[in-house]
Amino acid sequence: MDNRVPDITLNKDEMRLWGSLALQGIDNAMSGLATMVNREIRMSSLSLKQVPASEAPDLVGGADKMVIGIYLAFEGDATGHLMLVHQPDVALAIIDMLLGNEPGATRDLNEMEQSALGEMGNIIGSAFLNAIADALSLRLQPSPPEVILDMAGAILDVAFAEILQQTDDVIVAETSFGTSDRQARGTFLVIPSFNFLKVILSHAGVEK
Amino acid sequence: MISGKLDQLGLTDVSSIARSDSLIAVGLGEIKVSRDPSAVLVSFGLGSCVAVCAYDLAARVGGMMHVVLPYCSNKDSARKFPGKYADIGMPTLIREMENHGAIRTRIQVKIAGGASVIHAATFDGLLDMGQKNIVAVRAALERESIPMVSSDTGGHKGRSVWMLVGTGAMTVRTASGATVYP
Repeated sequence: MDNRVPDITLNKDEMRLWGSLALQGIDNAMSGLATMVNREIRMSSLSLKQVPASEAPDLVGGADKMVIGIYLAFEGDATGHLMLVHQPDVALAIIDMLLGNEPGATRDLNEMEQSALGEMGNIIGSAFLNAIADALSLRLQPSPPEVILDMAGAILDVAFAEILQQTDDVIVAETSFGTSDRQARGTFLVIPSFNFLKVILSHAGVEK
Repeated sequence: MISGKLDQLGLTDVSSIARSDSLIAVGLGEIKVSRDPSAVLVSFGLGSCVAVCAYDLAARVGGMMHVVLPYCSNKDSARKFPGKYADIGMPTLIREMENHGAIRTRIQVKIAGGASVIHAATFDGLLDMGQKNIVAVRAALERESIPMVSSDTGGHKGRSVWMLVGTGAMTVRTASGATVYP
């Protein structure tokens, strides 16, 4: 095994390519979400970051911050991790929206509430992966979604355990989104594996 | 299945410890050692990661290591993040403790972490990373003949872990409450 830390630093062209693919995916994911909740979804600008793994939990408010995360892994021609992260009260507001409840009606996270969030994860995850898979003629398949109430750091560990086997930094695509009435703000994180970046860059004709 | 009671989240205050002035955060793959009796070492939001808290009571030297992976696959990375891998991190932690005045034969260890937060089968090998980390940490302790006096490991919940350098006490907090290991 090669003992050097692989260089995952993307140059400008590679970053532009990854950014445009991530944007297509996230665009598609947000229109999927808009259809599901039957509301307009606004998305803040997409930010692409390469950060040391130890700083990544700050993207979602700190490692010990309690969040509700919807987690999907994907595999196929490449692997990676998708995560939707919400403050607990925001997640409850989203559930109200998804289930057609009065605002404030949802107070707990039981089976039905979790499955509503999971369904949202399914729609966002599949739409994101489909857009990228179509653009590059790849096969990418999401895992069943998992809904977790826990510390942000603990949820992110799942992705880090894979990525940190190869590198010290994680590359994330991050966008925050919300309904136009601001009831539901969240963070959508895409954490590609090193191999995912290699595959998409080589498919697009940029060797890494 | 996650807890249905969101209002339990308010009960996670660890009061004075969390507000200590001399909080030393130990990030992923880091090792921090201190002999300042007012210092508190802390690793926030551990999922599959394991915090190794080492203490020499006589010298009042405390060290914390934030283990991410069981075995070293990348020596370069280990130079930058000496606590990233359980196997090669343990000797480094002990050496750092000795550099701060600890005596090897007096060092005792408490560990916390190694949860499996995600239940569903995703990829092979990632599933039981927490368990693998615990096994690797225990094996490394055995190799170094360092006794483990308490452990708070496994399960499905994330943990934050504090160690008081003045006493060596370890406090472990999850979503449902805090436990002190004196």
